[in-house]
Amino acid sequence: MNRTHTATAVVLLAATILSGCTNSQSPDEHDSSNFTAQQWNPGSVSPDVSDPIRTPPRAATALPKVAAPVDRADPDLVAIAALTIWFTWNTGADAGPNDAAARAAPLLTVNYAREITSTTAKSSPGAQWLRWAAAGSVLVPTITRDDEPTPPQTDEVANRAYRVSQTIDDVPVNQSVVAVILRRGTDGWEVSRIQNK
Amino acid sequence: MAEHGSSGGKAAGAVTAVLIAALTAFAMFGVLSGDRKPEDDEGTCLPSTPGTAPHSGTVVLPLSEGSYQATSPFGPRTHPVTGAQEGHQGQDYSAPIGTPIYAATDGTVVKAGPADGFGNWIIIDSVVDGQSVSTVYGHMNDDGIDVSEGQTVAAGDPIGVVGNAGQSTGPHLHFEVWPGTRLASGSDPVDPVGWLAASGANTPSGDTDTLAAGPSSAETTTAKRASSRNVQLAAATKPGCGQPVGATGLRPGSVPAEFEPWIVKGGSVCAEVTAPIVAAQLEQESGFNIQASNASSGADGPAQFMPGTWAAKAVDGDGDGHKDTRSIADAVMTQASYDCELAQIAKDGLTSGKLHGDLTELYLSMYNCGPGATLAGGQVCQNAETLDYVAKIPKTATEKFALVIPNAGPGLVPDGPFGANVVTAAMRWLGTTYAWGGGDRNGPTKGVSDGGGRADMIGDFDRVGFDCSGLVLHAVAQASGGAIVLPHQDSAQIADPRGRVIGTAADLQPGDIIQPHSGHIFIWLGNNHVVEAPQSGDVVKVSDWTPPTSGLTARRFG
Repeated sequence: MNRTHTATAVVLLAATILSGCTNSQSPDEHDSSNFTAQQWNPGSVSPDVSDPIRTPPRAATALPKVAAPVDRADPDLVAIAALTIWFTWNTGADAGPNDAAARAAPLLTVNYAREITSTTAKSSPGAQWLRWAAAGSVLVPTITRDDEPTPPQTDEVANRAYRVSQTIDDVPVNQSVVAVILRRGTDGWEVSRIQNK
Repeated sequence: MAEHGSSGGKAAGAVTAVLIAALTAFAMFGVLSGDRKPEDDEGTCLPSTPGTAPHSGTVVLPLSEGSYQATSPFGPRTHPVTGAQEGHQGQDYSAPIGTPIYAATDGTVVKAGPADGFGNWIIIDSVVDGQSVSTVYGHMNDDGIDVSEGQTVAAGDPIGVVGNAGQSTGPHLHFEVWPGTRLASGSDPVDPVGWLAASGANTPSGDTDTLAAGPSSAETTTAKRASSRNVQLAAATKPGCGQPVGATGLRPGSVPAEFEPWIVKGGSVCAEVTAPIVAAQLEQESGFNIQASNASSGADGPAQFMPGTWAAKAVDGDGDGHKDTRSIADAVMTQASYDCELAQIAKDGLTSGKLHGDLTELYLSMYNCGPGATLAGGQVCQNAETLDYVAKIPKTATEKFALVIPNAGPGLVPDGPFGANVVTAAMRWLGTTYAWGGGDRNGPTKGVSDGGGRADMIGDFDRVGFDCSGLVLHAVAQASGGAIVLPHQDSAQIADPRGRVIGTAADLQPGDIIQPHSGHIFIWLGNNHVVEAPQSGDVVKVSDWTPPTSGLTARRFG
């Protein structure tokens, strides 16, 4: 039952995804409500105003050309496409994993896309990310279907679990087990949750 | 004292052992503070004499640290059994059947027996800070009540044990707090988590130097509290009744030597921020790199503070008259101090009902995503990075930096046979609901959900419980005192190199984990029996299973 997607296919998709990524949004492109939250700090008037604060990434409105169209009638294909985008990290260009997640927005429910792009981390994603970024590394995921039983699928909801192995130049650097919940919308299946299991 | 300028390597090294010893004692015996001194019960775990300190205002948690998982919170919810929308009037704590329940307050037992929905309940009427308050404890089994109506109890006294009676999907304590009197009209419940947090916020009011010396300085901390109430760890007030599993000591040698004394000290600033948490944050931020600098953000030093935040929050940790982002003392103590400030904001948010969720995750969300964004959302920020951060930091703290204290929970034998402890840890959850994605090192957890409401609740996967690999993860983690936390996936567990392969049925011993086929995993009990969390719609149970004559896939840990 395991379905392993070859690195070749994933790299092709990832390369196309990356070609469309950007982190050069200007602050005025965003809802100003984000800024108040990010710059507020307890006990101080505005201590962060001089700091370069990260802004939440904008939810993508279209998938990369090669990634689209995804067969929205197949929840597995929708889940795998979303995870591939979500876990393809271009550390040389992205501010953090949130940028990759935002690129998956066209495959997410409207509410979920809004939820993940309404806030962001204040500073860098950490020392390990910065080490990858210093080398301009791109993390490419391999997605494997998990065989553990999931709740039964209904007409409206599908539950899946996957093992995700992210590699740099085919060397595994990060592993996770993730659960995915999909709901059937007007245009077919869409992802309503991606969560570490 | 190193904090007064003698921060050279020798001095730092000299205080390290003292600090570790002090904090270890602190972790082992708890925060011995408050109005009542711990009973000298010589480890007998006997209840203190009723009436010795009635209505003193002391408040303790109703379960000992490490024995429970906070699950369904106070507030609106869909009832897990009936499916009806309701206002959940208390906080649920999942814990194994038989886990001791302690009186949260001094007072008088006014109810102890059967009750609709609860199966059984206990109500204790008390006076705390001059105000009447009732505490309610529900779902004990018929043989799980150890007090009687009219009895006087003191905070910390055992009053019963956790059960699964009434409308319940698994063993847990339902705990309510009612300002006023529960059995009288005109009273309404409040969020117990917020009330407990507000009762004993032992945040120091300034001078952190006095906090590094362990238990003796805790009394100093208590003296500074505005409230006479004081949340204590129930087990900690009764040495010998079990040590907290959630060790707060720093594992010796787990961080660079030059960081160690300051991380230990940072972990003493407030109760909510432990040394392992501080260590995990430093590793995440910089990998303990003193020279770390991020040109794009301006973040600098081992704690990666940005200039504005540093200007507002910096602490002169070593007392040398300077606040330097690349000073280990200044950076670590500033980080701990800022964490504690955020923890207080999170506690206030929980008390007022503006925030929901786990206190540690909430203050970590504030650290990572900002207090404003966290308060605005009423919960942990839901972006991918912050969710990863609030999950990763406590996990890393436990697995990599915490002092491992052998689990002494119900039925577990510290340093006892590993396999027997695996079995014990799993068997105490018999009857607990299967929940897809549920279960972690501490116990059952809410399964994976997208907040879809009733559609989720019709199935059983959104409830609090275990799935198959969640149960195995939990049992092995408990048996190892938290040292071995397996991945939450059957194939990864059965291949984990920390265990050794068991190739034949004749070699199987109780506590071995077995993958009968790809997609499932359970624990061998012997005599062709296993304990498992089988599938949706089922519960944790013992099943018959005969090992194959060849092709056994099994592994033994410990």
